[in-house]
Amino acid sequence: CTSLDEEVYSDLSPNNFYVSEADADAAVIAIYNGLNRRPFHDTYFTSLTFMPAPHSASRLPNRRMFANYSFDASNFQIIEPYWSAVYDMINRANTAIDRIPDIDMDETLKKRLIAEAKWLRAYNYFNLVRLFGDVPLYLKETTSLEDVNQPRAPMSEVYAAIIEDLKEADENLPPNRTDDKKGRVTRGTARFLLAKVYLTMAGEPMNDGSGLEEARTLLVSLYENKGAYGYDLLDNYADIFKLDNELNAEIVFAVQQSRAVGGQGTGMAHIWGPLRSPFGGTGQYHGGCTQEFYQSYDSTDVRRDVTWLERYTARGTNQVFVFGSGNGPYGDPRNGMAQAKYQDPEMNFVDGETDIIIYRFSDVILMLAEIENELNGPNATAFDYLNEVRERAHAGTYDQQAAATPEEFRELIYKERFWEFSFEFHEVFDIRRMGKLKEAIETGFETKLFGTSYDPKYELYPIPLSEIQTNPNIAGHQNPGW
Amino acid sequence: ELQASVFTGPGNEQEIVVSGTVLDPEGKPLIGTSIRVEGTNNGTLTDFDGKFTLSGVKKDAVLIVSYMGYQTQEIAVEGRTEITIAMKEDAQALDEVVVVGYGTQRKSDLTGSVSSVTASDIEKAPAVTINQALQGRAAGVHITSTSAEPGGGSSIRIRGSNSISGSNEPLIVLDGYPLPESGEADGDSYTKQTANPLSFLNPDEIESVEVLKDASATAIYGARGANGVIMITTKGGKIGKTRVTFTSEMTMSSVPDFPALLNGPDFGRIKDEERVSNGNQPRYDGLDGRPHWTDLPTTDWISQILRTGASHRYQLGISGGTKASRYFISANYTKVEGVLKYTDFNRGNIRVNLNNTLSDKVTLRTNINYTRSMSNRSEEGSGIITTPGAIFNAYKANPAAMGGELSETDDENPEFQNPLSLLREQTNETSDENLLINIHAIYDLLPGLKLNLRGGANNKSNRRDIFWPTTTVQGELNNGMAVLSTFQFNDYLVEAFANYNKEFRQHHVDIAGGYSWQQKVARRVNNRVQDFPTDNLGTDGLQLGLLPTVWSTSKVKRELQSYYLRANYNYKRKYFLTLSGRVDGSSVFSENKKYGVFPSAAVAWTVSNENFMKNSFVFSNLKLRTSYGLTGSQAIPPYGSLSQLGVANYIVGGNAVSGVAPSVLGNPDLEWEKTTQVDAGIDMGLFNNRLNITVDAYYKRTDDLLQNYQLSPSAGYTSTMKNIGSLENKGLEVTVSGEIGKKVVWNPNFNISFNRSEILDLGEDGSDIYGPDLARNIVAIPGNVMREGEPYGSFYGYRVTGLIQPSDFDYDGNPSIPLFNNDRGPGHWKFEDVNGDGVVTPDDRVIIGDPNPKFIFGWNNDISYKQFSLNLFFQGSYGNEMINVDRLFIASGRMLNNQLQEWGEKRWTSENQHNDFRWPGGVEQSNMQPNSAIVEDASFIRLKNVSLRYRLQMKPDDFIRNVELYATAHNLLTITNYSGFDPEVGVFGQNNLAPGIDFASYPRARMYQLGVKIGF
Repeated sequence: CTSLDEEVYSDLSPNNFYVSEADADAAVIAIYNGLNRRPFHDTYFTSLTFMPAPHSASRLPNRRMFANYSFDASNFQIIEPYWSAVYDMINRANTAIDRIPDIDMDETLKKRLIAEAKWLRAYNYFNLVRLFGDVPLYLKETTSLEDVNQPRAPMSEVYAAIIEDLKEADENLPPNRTDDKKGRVTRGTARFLLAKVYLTMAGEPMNDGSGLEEARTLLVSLYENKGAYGYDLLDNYADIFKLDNELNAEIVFAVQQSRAVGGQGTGMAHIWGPLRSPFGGTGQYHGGCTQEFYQSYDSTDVRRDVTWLERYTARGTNQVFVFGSGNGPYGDPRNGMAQAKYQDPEMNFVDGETDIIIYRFSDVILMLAEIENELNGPNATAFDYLNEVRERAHAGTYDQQAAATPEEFRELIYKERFWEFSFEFHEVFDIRRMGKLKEAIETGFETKLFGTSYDPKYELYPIPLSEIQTNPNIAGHQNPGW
Repeated sequence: ELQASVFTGPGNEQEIVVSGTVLDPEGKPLIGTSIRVEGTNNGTLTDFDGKFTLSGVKKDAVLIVSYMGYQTQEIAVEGRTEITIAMKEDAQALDEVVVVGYGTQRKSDLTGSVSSVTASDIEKAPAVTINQALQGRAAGVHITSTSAEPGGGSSIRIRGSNSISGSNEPLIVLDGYPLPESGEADGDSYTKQTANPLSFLNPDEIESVEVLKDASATAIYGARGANGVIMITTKGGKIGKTRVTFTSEMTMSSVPDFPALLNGPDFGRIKDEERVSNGNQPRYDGLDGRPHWTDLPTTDWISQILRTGASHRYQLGISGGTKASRYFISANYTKVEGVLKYTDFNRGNIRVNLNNTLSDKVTLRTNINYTRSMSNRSEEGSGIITTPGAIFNAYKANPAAMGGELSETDDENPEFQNPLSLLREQTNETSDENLLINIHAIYDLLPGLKLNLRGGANNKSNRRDIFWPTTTVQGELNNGMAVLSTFQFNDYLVEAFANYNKEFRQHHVDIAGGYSWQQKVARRVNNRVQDFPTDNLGTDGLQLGLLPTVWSTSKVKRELQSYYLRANYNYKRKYFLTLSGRVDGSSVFSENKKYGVFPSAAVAWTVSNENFMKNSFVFSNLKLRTSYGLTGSQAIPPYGSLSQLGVANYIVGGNAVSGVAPSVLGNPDLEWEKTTQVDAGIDMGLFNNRLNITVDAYYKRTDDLLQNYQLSPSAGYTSTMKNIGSLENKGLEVTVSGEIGKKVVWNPNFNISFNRSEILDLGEDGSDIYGPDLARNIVAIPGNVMREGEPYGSFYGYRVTGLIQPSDFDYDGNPSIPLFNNDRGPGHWKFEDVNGDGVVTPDDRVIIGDPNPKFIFGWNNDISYKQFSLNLFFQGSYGNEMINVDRLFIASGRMLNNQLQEWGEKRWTSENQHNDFRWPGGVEQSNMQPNSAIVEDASFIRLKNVSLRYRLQMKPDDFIRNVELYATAHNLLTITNYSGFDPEVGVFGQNNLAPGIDFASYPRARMYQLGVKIGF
């Protein structure tokens, strides 16, 4: 007779893990891993953040629906898997936060690891609350079927949890990382994100400007002590995105990618590049920006051709494809001009090395400009910040006549952020918090083609159907209109 | 009788010595025939000359003469001392002995529902795998070949599918050894065609196959019985001098007709139409030095990749033995060439079956089989756009690709992959080794009581080698890419059981019971390496590759411990009762739910044995039976009840750092899936059993379905294994067989099976369960759904109501119809707005078809005349539908690949505005969605085999004992309305969630065989 007890050989068990310092580190590393699992950024996050830009265009129906709002809660290609992947990361963070305190190890390191997990949890909730509004707020590890089915927590509660996590992260994270720890979050990352949270809360739909002063303090500390935090504005905009210049001083947070480790590469260049593009991969050509947006940059603005690919020579051939020329798929202006920020000619399909840049130092400066304007109107300080970013890009600088009112200055910021951060996952957040969604839909390329008219429900994505159907505490509590 | 012998006393003077000869129907001596004096233990066996001598026989005694396969005779001695007995072949199937779990039973004593297929049925249409041979042969058994590639897999469903997440394949018991679930090395496949678990078995070595269907028959296999049990018995040696049989066979496989694709000029012309309507410049207008479309060349890529395959089979069998030792030794080599170029299947095996009488009391049965097979494959039906199989590649290839016949480039499409060169250049091998050792010792403890001990091991080792050299597109992009995976399992079995058989005063008792332990450890290794300096070494030199991208190993163990008991009782062979059950303990369930109890009961009444029926002119046999019981399924992967952590590494400072994340949320309440089945049957033999009819009706309900229960994703897990929901299957099976004629004898055998399935309950919220995406990227949408109240695996998608017409738009271009994704292209599919909200969205998807047949049938005909015998076997299916995914690609106007020529003629154009949704048109549709326009009726009737045999007349003492010549044709004729290659495919293999999907599948060949079988 035999006991029939099971022994797991190729996976680890929670019962005999989380005992050493190495285990604690592995629990935190696992949260980061959630961010670089394909196709989190190249498929889900780009659809949710870039496609709603008024200047996006796509060859593919599945992408277009996020530009023209023809998706719905049942979308299981983008909305559902994104939601699941984010909550998977949150559960990993909760696991680390719950388990690490009991591990016998160096107390400073313990606090640092927990702070790191809290930053990552806050980052994920920050994305969720902006994309979906009220969301289930899990702050404990799921260990049994009894823990599931949390109801939606009001946005204010979610923001409160985010702020609490980020404050703790600010306190316990190191200001700098040694080379072998590069890529992990630091105190600077925490301050940056906390400031962004406050700035976001000041806009739609929270309209709570109570944190703006603190946001400015945080950002000024980063701006003035940038050396201490290891930050700087690079002289050359193009250098930010170069494969041989990763983790440069401009990077505040970037998801690390490497082909040398299985499943740790990105498909960005392959998926968004045109056929046989010089960027690597086959080139699935999912779309890009409109001709009109390309032409909206100052003619001297170097950001235009660093961000977009107007023409290219197909790899392995002598054929030159020019966007909008009428020749081949790339010749059809309806399909969108491909992005050029992600380039890895050595990549095969979806194993690109290019780190996925989430936050950059120029955002510190543009946020300062915006907060200055919100607090004190379009004064010289606000213009100085804004012009510092434009100067670096070789775009014409503004004089103070460019904006007489806070509203006018806000308009400049809105446009500047598109030019500066196109294809860096900011578009939908800026559009929504700045109250620009109606305008974006009325002027948008894909929305006009499709005939979409503004509906307040578009201010939030619907909670995915799979959550509604499986969670009885959420059933009946979909976002209004969806 | 007992009293009589007491009063009569010994009476020595009445005893005599009887000797004689037993002859077979051809007049040759029959060796090893049992002769027993009725009512005594006095008996003997005939010797090499068929002679016997029995002393102490009363003058009025009756001799019982029996030999397996011949009618048992009762011969009255009537004072004779010299008797010649002529045995008659047992034409009455009724007294066949059938193999049931842990024993055998007379067929006429069965209370459960069992179908049998014998060696002679299998021999009539030689097949490479036993699955093919069984197709259509037994009622209630639905075998679908999932790939027509040589040695390809199949799915076997006995009385429908019982499980959604667990396996629905029946348990296979080979010579008493319950085979573990198979499996194969992971390839690069998307659909993961499951390996054929029986491809290691050489059909030539099979003596009989019994299919146990109802709960009474399968309950003895408890937790593995719910999907039915197939008992396979291999041949054994017979007492007598050595017999050698040699078979040599050659097969030509010819390609079925494939519907023509557009030729180069038409393709160029239509492609130009598309360019012009998109506002682009035409390429084939003959102007400015551009070629004219009429001058474009044509390559018929489909015919480039197909061929007539030649196959060979050599089979050597040696058998014979003495009373003490019998042997059957077999060796086989089979090579099958596929109809797709460069694909084949090679198999060699050696089997040794021994039966040794070690002493009066102890018999030892030994079965050893070793098989090695190797196949060159092409992964058809995967639907992966970047690495498609050859057929899909041929659809994709431009027929006008510049540079003539075997162009390596296409200047319109930089991704062009020449379908032929892909088949030629890519290495895609599966090799497999299977060793099965099964030793069974039988100890005769007391009269009627036998103790059995069985020990066995089954080791399988499977290896997949895939290499894309730089001469393929995939290889060029990756500078050579290799996939090397292995899968291996070691399965061990120990069983101890007893059989007790007793007859007293017309009461017959037969009891079997015992203990069993089985353990399986399975291991996988996966490697993928890219960037090779040379193509020379392929998967043999992985270390040359600079970029390993996947490497992983896994080891899992499962264990089963069981106790079982079956008691058969009958009175006067009129009233039968069977009680059986098994207590199974399986490691895969949670700590407190390891054990399950699976009981069953059956009763039967042989009405024809009642006195009032004895003289019935019509009924020679009439039996009523019914059974009820519970069986289970444990066919889920191990560890479902345990929470687990998985690897989740990340890059820090440019180096990989170890990460470990929660991966599985265990369910501490995980337990058995339970199937309750009621069966009622009637067996009828009419006109002296010249006509036999068996009818069975059943109802099956499966509860506590093992499912990947969907959790609210916000919990951090998307699913956990849970017991939830129920489904039912109910059906009717009829088998009719007969014998007609005297000189020309015609034995028809017809079976028909009806099964209806319904998903009853999917849990509290009752949410649908979707099948896998039809194709990885282009049709990344499922085509099947499990939904409460609907049949198993129903088709799901948009309902097409017609084609979009210019008249659907007003003067300003505003549509008067709901649009999908704002696709307003005239000639495109018009989807129904089911919920009436004015737009077509995924919410408008509905059930659009049913992959389940209304009925399936097989009709076998054996016609013999003198030394000729002719076999005709028809097989078919009615009322099942198929999603023909190919049509999304080759009949939709998607000019990124080629289109059917018929589409070119019938498509919607502004000149030919019609509403036939089979032939949409216009510029490429954006909605490549599963929809009702690609659902087709896949009913078919197929003349599966025609076989003509001629047996040469030999003299009994010739060195060559017999010679048989035969010619067979397979798949000669198929009548169907289905427009694809083959109505009988399922590219998702054994994936429960996606039945009835056809997508660029491996073409089924028509085969012609010539063979000779010589016996020495």
